[in-house]
Amino acid sequence: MQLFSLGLNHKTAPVEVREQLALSPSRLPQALQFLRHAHGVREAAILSTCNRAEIYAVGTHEAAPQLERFLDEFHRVPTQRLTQHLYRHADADSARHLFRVAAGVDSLVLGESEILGQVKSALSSAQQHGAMGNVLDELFRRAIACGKRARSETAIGRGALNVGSAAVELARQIFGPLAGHTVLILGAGKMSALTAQHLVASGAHQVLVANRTYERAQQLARTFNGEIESDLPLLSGIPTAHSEAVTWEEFPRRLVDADIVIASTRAPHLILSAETVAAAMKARRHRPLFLIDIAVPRDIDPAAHQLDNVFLYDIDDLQGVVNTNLAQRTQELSLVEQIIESEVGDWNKWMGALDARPVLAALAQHAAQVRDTETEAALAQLSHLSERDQQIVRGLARSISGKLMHAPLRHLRQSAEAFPGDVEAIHRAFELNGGHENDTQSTCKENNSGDGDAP
Amino acid sequence: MMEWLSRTEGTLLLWVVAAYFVAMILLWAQLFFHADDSVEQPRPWRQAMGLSSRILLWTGVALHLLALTGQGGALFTLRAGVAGLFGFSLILVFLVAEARLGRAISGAFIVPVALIATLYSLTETPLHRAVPQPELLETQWLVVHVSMIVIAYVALAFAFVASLLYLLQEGLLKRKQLHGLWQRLPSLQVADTLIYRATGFGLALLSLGLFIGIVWQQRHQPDYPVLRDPKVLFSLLTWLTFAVYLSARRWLGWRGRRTNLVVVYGFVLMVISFFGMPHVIQ
Repeated sequence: MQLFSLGLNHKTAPVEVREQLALSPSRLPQALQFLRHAHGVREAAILSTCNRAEIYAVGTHEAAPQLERFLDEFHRVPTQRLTQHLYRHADADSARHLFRVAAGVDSLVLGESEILGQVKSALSSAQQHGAMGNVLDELFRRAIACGKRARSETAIGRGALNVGSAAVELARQIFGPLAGHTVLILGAGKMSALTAQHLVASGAHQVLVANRTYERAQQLARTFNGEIESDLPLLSGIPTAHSEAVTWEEFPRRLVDADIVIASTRAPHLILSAETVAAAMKARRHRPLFLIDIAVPRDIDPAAHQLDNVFLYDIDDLQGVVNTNLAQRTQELSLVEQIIESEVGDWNKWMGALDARPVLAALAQHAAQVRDTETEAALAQLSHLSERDQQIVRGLARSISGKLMHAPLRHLRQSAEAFPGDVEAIHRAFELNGGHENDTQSTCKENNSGDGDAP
Repeated sequence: MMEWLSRTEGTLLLWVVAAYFVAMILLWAQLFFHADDSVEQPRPWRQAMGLSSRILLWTGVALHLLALTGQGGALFTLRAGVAGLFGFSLILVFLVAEARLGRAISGAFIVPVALIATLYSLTETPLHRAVPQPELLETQWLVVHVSMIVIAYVALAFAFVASLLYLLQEGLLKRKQLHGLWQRLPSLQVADTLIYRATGFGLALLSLGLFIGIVWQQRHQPDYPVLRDPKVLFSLLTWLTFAVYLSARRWLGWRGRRTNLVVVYGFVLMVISFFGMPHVIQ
């Protein structure tokens, strides 16, 4: 029983190649069926995202070439054209690769967490279509656990990696929880709307929109209200906020109500002077004001940053936050690799024990059978013995067989991974019935019910 | 029991100081080695540091309580006694309310303050031998006066530490130095609210405590020139500084760096009035 994987990702293949192997959800069942019925394949799973296409399979040694045949016949992409982009792994390397993927180490954006959900859905769709078996099931569960561990025990998933989340991070350092705070958008553009969405998703409860053309302000305000559908990708699923359109002339007065101002107009000159901000601060009784200027050329007078309780960040500053966070994530890599290695070690133990488990069961069963047959045959000839004496004889037999089998059973349990040949030797030496390959399926089931991580 | 406590008080306090000191080093180490309270599952060694500093502080506080019970009346009449009482209360309150500003970051500032106070209390041990003047103890008012002042000091020490954290965070945000420490510092608004509340509470108790103290003194020694006692004057100056902060924050809407600096000045004055200014009477 071996584990194989084959795939390509954003590092090894350009998008023109990746899109040829992309699987729509509707074709996934067919693909899994194809793999499942390929010669030598017992279990299969497919991890398909926009950045990677990977196939995992468990089977005999004949299963490996079947994966390439799948690309050839199912995707109708000749393997020769893909060879330079493909990576192939087996056994521990396959496991290591999936663990790295789940931990976000292999992602385009280091440590991003979306991949964890994608690994989960690869697991559940393979389960749903009957392609999952004990081994892959265990592998994917362990991969998900490994991904969670990496993100909770290290900082690989921490720190904003886009301008919108960086704005949220900064706002939290100024205001603490954002609940009850108001966002003012100057310039109803896509960038400012996206940034405001991040803030609303983090608790900001009111959005004011000012724009030179009032109609556009009204339109954006209505999307935040939830009155009209947004064409922005992020907005679906984000809680709605109280929102209000503000005329362009009115906005300086509304600086009193706002805590966070996002400016991104296309104006070629400054639209918010430091004097206006200073006047607003007085009216605000010096409550802190967070100004985000993501316009190029800039909208807000940089001198505003010098005012007490005013914090002005432009697009470069926010990008700086993102870069710092990325550097911090990179520093965490070695720790994540340690976690992955320890998980791979555990996986190897599990796989080693997998081979031993049916032999273990068969051996124990064999011993019990011999013991019971012989004891009962002897007792049949000793019918004069009292019930108590019979119990003593049975106890004697149990104790002899127990003591004899203790050492080999323990050896099998503990050193299956270290000496895989021993499993085979014991299997032959005791002339145990049934190949241990065949028993794998039935005897492993019980070991799989433990750690529930099912999506 | 009391006798044994009195005899071992000096040794006991040394252990207390040692516990506070090691805990302080651990808290600092936690900060410098990227201790991040917000990572869900702290790394094992970091967790171990956090746990051991907590255990050390609780042990220290328990031993400190033992040592204090051995001091009897000196606790309220001698400056060293009051300093010990203050250090003890500060750690105790920190342990009870540690999560408010972030454990490691606030502890890194609170524990040193308590440590200095406790070290100072060691200068006059064994305190039980310093026989308090009996007439000073004849009234319960002294105990009330000192307790109130100590609680006020604890609240104002918290306001002071929160101000330091605020100034640090504000400085980082203004200079746009957004790495390392800044995520472990409390947000400006959280720190600001805590400064305001702690100062309000502290000032109320300080007012009452000072009032009781002055009235008690006047009744005890009617001809004592209270307003020429430098300690009293400095205490009033301290009171005034905190009062200025509180009214400016409350009624004039002052906020931010300069306002919170007033709290820092106030705390410095408070320390001077406590340590630096002897009562003329003594």
